[in-house]
Amino acid sequence: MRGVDTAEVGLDDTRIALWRPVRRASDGALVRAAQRGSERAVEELFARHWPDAYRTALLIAHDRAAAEDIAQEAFLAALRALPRFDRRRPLRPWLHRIVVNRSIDWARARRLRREVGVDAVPEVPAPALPDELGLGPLGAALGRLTPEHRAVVVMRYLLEMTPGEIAVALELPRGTVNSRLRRGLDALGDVLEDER
Amino acid sequence: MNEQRLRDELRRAPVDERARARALHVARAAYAEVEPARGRRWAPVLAVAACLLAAAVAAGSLTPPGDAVARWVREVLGGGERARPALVRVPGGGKLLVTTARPATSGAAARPADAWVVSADGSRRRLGDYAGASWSPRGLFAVAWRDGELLAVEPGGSVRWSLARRGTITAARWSPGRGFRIAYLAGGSLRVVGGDGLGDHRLAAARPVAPAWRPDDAHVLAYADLRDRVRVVAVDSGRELWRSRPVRARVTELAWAPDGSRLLVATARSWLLLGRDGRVLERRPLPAGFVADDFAWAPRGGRLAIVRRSERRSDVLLTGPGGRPRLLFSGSGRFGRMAFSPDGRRLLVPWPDADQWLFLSTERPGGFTAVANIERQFAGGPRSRAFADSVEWCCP
Repeated sequence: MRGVDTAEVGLDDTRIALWRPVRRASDGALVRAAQRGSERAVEELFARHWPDAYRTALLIAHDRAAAEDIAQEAFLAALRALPRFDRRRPLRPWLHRIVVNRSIDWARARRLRREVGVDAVPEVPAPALPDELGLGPLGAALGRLTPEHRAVVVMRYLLEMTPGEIAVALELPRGTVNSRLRRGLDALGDVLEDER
Repeated sequence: MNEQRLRDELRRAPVDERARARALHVARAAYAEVEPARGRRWAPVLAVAACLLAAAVAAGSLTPPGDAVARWVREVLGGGERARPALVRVPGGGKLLVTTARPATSGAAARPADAWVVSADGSRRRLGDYAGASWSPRGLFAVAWRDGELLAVEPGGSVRWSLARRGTITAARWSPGRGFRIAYLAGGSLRVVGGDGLGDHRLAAARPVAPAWRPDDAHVLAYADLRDRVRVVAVDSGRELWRSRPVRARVTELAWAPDGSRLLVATARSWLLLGRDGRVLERRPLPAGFVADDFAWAPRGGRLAIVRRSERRSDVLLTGPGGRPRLLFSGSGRFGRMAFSPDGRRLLVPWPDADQWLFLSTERPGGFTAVANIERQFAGGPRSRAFADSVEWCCP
């Protein structure tokens, strides 16, 4: 059998040699398989990355509906780019960069819409009903941070990105990332300490 | 500060499993579209099919033997594989507000199911189990209704306000322009409420026909009274501007042309065009054997789309500059409520019998895009069946 690699093992059952242990395919291998037409590879990539994409969007945008839209849009963007996607490039940071930037944009837009007042939104000037996201006190504390600060905290502690990777993804100086992290942690620290 | 605790807390953020299922479905459909080999394989078939259909329409051959053509269209283009398998983008852009209906069962009519919002990229969001819904003028909100409840909802599904009234609420319509009023029917009455949910009051007794706002900021509303007269009132002052003589048959639909110069008054067998002052400008009977199912004004150019139905088939007609209708499409069974794209270049026609939506080109004879598996895409659950048969198309 020619070219049986980790991508094919676990993606196409007919190619699994019985004596060979099934290894977890890398993202790159799954992208290659998806480029060749494997729907299972797409589903595996989805299963692997959608939960964190949704959580990231939810924690930054603080809105379930927006989180679903943002995570879905990010995957659609990835699928549309699939035929020309550079396989050497890691998928995860690329995908989460889209999610984070769209979440920040969405949260900023919502903040602006609140500030322009009733006249600009004449159709329904009544206040929004409270939105229960199920994030607990940490969610409330996150909600008090700016979207930019929330993004840095989420990228560091949910997505486990290094400050250097965050700086590249958000096109920020590394010092800015560190200061936002520090400020975010200070704000959240009170909540986490109080809960003990 | 315990960083590990922060990691644990963030990871506990809940993942919405229904959102995940919806997103996976959309992702599969999107992948089916981007996969290059599949697109190439069907491209010549679609091109040939479109040309043949265009020729058939141009030759006017979609009348009695039209069913055969329609069947052929369904089999060749729409068997589920060759139409687009899923709605992964809205052709022409904009967003759709969709109401679904569960199929009729023996002895029972089709029942309303859910309302959905479809974004330009094809992503769908279920608004809730509403019997109907209609956009606000700029698509920032929708007014939705079920039983005796009227609600203003955001496209994301959040409810901004709601009110309850005795009797079943139907046919709510948001006033155009700045959208300060909503007219709706409740228990045989026409009522009006502010866009903020305040100031709800009864205006008049009315037939169960959706009221029609004149497309300007004057809050002028047309409705059908209990004697099948069309009345046009200035809602804020309560002053009646004019009323028609009784129409000889039951009024089924009212719709102002987008420039406010004409009011369409439809009955099952004919339609009238009234001027802004109530004068009859035009009266058009339908051919024997046909009933009128639906009407829609194009956003520009004064054109009117009409769905007429006979025992065997339904036709979509579009009036031209001289008012003479030409056939756009013909298919077996019944069509749902159509909607023009905001630029008027496409007409969305829900087709329950084929489980498809057709995006008909209003400029290119025979040009259309078919999207299949509509029931499955708006099912709301693996065992549920509901066809998205009513659509409003908003806001580029």
